[in-house]
Amino acid sequence: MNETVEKITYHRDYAGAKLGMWLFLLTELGLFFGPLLLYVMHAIRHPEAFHAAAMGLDKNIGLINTLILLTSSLTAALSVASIRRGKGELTLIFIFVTVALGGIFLVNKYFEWMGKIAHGIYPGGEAFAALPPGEAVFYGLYFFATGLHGLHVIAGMLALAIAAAFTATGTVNKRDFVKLENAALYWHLVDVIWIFLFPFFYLIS
Amino acid sequence: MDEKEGGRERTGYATYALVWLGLMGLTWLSVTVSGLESGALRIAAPLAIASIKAVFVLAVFMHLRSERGLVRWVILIGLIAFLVSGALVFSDVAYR
Repeated sequence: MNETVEKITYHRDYAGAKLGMWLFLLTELGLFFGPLLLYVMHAIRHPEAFHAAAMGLDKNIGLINTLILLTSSLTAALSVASIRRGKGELTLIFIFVTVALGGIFLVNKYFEWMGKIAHGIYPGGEAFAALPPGEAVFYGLYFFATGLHGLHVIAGMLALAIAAAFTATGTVNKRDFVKLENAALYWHLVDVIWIFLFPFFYLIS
Repeated sequence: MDEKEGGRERTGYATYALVWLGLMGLTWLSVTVSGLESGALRIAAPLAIASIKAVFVLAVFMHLRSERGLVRWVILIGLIAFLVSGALVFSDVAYR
């Protein structure tokens, strides 16, 4: 009796997956590089207006959100370190903490935005239209850059949640963890972008 | 603190924790210097500190320090391209 042994091999390309992710991350950096260049150009033209507008932002909320994202980056890195050591449950805990910190970041951002919107300072708002040109540009860039960043935080939370589901089912494991590693890379990039947004909007103006 | 795993370097938990502490300290420093009276330092220092923080995140959290070959070159060339285009735009606007 002939016995057919079916061999199933899965194609894995760890180097390709990492390279592809890094290329994507570079395009994401380019997406935020444009608004920051615009910021520098207009800050040179309207230094007083940018200073006056920045005084209207709460430095403490920016600081708290920075500390939250830096801590979430630590837990994201620890989740990858844990899966490499085969500790699936610990990995899930670290991913959960990372996603939760991302949620807290967004809640803070929501209240910060609502504070401005309540005073009519938003693109299209009455108070916004009455602002001097430089201040209007500052708040326009503020809403655009932090809004775009907020969308990236949501995307990062989703990517990590999917990686958590893969970890729970065993698809992501000690030997094959590139999905989680790439999700964590995306999360770190979101953190790197905020590292620059924080001084631009809250500190140097 | 760092371990070897099949020839590849594996960052230890303690290294991550130390880098996180450093990032917290640098954040405190950037907020402190931004309150200084000196104009140039008040602007340059927070941006320089942000760059140092980004390098720490890229090198340790994102494992760039253990990447080799093509990945490293692609990132390096990409970052240099951003810096050059930024410098050209800045010089154009600042000295027009």
